Amino acid sequence: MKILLLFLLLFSTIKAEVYVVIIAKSCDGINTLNLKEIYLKKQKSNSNCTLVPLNFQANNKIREIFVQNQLNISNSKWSRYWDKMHFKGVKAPYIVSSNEAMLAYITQVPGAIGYLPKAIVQNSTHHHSLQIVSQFQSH
Amino acid sequence: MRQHFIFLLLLFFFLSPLHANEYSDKYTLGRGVTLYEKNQLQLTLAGHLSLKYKTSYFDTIETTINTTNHFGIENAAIMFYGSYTSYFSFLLEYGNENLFSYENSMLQSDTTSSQNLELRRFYTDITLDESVNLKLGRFLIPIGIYNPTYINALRWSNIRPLVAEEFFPDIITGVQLHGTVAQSIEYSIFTQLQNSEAVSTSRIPISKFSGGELRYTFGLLSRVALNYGQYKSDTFKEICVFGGANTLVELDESEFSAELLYKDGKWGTNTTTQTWWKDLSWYTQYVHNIYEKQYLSFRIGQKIRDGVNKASWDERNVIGGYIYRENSALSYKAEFRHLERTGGKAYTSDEVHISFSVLF
Repeated sequence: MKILLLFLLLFSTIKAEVYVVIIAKSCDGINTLNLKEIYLKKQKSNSNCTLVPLNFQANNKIREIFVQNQLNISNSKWSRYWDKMHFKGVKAPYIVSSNEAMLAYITQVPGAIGYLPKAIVQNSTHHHSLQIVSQFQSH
Repeated sequence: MRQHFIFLLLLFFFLSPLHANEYSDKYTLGRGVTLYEKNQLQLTLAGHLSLKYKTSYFDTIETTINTTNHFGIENAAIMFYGSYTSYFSFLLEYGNENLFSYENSMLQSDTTSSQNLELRRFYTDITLDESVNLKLGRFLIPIGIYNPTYINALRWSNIRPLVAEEFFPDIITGVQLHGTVAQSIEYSIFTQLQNSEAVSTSRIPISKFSGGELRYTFGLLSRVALNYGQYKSDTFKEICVFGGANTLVELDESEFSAELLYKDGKWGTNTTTQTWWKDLSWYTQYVHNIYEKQYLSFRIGQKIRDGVNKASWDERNVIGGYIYRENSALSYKAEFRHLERTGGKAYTSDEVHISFSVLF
């Protein structure tokens, strides 16, 4: 019984973090339906901005969840797709190495789109200029 | 040959990060080296390499039996590509197919051969709109499944299907209009601007060529497509018209693909001695992920020629293969092919193809 309580206590402390997909408010018309097209670089712009999709590095767990749950693509198919595109001269989404770099890129480059923990976005001084496209949980 | 050696050294420079535990931020295997990337301005250096060993047993009806062993660099190239804005991009690919090959045959003395290095692909792509893109330069013919992905690293098989051989040229220098309409309809229309009869590596030397493909896409790479083309070869004195269909369906653990092409060709200008022929070819291929990085592939195919004043024949083959994909950019493939040809120049052959291929 003690072991069970210990397990329950342990698991109650592991909380799924909420992530949000964000882009500058000045870029309108972006929604969950065209998110996949943007990350596959099939849609390069919308009416008023050039889109720059951002991703974390290949071994990043959050990136794996984002690709699988938000884009509905398995990681192996994602890699194969970008191998083929690479051979055609189309570069995969720009890689950023940290949450800070992701936020800086999105706030400074018009049309940049990426995903971050909701708490970071809410605590950012730039959050008024950002719009949430969708949200997902870290596990 | 010295040029080939320097070129291969450069390629092996790319391979060196394979042995490192951690790649730098600037390099990811299969994605090239990012030379520069800021906002929309991007420059990337990349490449690909494929080594292949083939052993074959060949038997004709006239009792000519031969066995050959062949080893070679099937394809190798360095690629340089980039974009200046989201509206303008370019690609250069320097290298070639069959850069080096060595053959040991039962009937002939050992031979080595090599192809010259050349600018295999070069083009600029101008995006006017998602639905209207203009490609100018030398590019792969955007028809079918195998032709636009000619390098081994991107394929499930070492062996090009019969439908991707001699039906149409693989590369042309010209202009292509392509784009996506209503998110799932893709089109490509192209025409040749430069006579390719002087290009030594052109599979079919042609003086005029135009064609196109219309694709309905679904999922990530799944598609159903229809295509059409026509070309003229002054060298072969041929005029050909072809058309066909292809499909690729990706499932969770497997992939199914099929291509079919029909070609109507005629040779010669004198109507009394004119030769004409009709070719029909198809294949179906199934690839299944059996365990983690391991795959099995199976393919059957056929090519039938019905000729007037020209030999008629029927060629059928069956291929079974094993693929180990360390990751999407690096693979080892081993395949067995049995081929039977009846009619003109009848023969049977059994081949084993083993390859290592990598996309840098």
